[in-house]
Amino acid sequence: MKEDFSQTAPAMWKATATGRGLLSVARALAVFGGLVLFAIITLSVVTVLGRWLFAAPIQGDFELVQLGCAVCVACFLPYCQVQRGHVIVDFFTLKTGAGTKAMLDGFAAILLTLSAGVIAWRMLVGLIDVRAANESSMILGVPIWWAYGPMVAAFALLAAVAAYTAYNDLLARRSA
Amino acid sequence: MSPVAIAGLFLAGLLLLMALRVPIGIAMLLTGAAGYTTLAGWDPLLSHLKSQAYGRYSNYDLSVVPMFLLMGNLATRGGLSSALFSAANALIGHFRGGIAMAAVGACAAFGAICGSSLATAATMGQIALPELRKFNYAPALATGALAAGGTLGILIPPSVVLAIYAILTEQNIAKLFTAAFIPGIIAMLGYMIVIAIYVRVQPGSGPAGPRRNWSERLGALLATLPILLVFAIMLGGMYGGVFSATEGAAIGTAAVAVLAIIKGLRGPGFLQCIDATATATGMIFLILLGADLLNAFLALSQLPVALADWVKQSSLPPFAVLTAIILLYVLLGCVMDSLSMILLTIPIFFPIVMGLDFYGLEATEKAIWFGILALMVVEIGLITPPVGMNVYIISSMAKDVPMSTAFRGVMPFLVSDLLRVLLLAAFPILSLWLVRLMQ
Repeated sequence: MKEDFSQTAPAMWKATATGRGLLSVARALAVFGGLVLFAIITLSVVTVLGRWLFAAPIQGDFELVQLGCAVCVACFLPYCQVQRGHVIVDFFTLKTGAGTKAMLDGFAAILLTLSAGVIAWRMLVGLIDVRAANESSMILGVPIWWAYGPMVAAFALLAAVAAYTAYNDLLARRSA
Repeated sequence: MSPVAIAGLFLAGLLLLMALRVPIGIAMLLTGAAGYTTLAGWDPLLSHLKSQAYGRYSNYDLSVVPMFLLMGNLATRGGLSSALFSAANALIGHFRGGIAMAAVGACAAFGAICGSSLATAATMGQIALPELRKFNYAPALATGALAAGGTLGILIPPSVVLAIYAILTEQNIAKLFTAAFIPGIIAMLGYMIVIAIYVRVQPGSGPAGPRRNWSERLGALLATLPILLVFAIMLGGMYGGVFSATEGAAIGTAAVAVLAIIKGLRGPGFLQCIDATATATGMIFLILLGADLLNAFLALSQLPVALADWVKQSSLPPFAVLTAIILLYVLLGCVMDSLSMILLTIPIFFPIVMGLDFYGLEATEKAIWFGILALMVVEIGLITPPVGMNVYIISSMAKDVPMSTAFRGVMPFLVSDLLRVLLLAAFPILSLWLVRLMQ
């Protein structure tokens, strides 16, 4: 089967040590997210089978699915930025020159860096709050901050990845 | 300035940011944050952000989205799509235009285990294009049929866009999937009719393939049995209330994973699936996060309520309002992707529609009917110029077919899309019949 979606990451990630480092961390986090996804899928299947075959459902499985879902999708965010997968409207800039486009993209990546950075910061504060308050899920009593941890890391990495994208776009603008 | 006027102003700013290539999710997030701060101040925003991402992402129903995306990728890389096309081709390939019809039928069948249009177009393009080429199909017809057929990925349940609509409007996912089934079949038949007319208007554009005997047909059909079984169990269980939408998605994904492993999918293949799922999921959830903050701001500004009240009191005919909404979707669809459109507009349009009377439908049924209608219209955007993503994908595979030819080929299918929207708007029963039957 040809590689239609998962093109290898754009060249800029392989050009420098920073790029290679960010790429492998983003990728590792995405794979971790994938494993979490497989885990919640398995859990749900086991719950249904248990309920159906043995009339013995797993209590509170949906809490784990919720926690797992939050962790999994956050872990996918940096890798999506590596692949430049975040959707933009390019209709109004179809005929714009490459330099201007690179400048706009760099500017957009800076906005993404700031947004992700602020979210990571606020979530870290949130983590400290929910941990101090001993917030945990209703049935299983799983501490909520367990999900916050990987999410803070994911948003921090998203900020770093976006910063590197911005740097490369602005470089590209100079050479264009 | 009144909060409503502020909201209007910030929405204009949002459109500007989007036009300047800011990722749609970030444009929504920043507009939401700026608006929230203007209306409520910094501190509420900063404290909202502490739990916003977790609150948005830890929604139980929402977990169907990464699952459906993973399922589609497993089906694609596990080579499940070729069996579907072979079976459809064995059945109807011997008609004039039959191979293109088979491609459309296979797209619909693939749509039953894949919630995304782009994945459906890409997968079926790879399998059906060589066959269409072998039989000398006109390039415009071949690419047009596949690009349009790809939209069946999301029209036929499961559908990621419909799941998001259900979550936004607090409707039952299984009911919406049920409602989408007949309209999805109508879409498939509509595309097949278009092909039948096309090959009669332009003789030679779609030659007939060889006729297969019944034992060949039966063999090809048997090969699709596992896939049909997965679909039947997954959706049957969801509709029948045996399990939740999330559990259904999990069962479907696990079953498709097993089928893919049997077909020879191994470690590297699984990693590719995770790669593609991560990219597609990340894309959706960044927009979701932005839309969430934007909606928090809009709700604070009372703009959606004010607008809905105004429309209600203006005594505009409901169908004029509906037509305006549909036209706006078609226009937006020329520049935006379907999911962003739903996330951006539903919080504003949904209260308007719910405030109007259509055929005396009660609230839930109206929500379902409008959801299917919105789904159909936003999907049209995938094949309209200048940025029809499905057309891009197909014409990037058929390298010798210019984009303009592909867009020309898609035009007759667009007509069928518009007729179908009219049909569904005029006859809500088409969407609601199965839902009522299931109750």
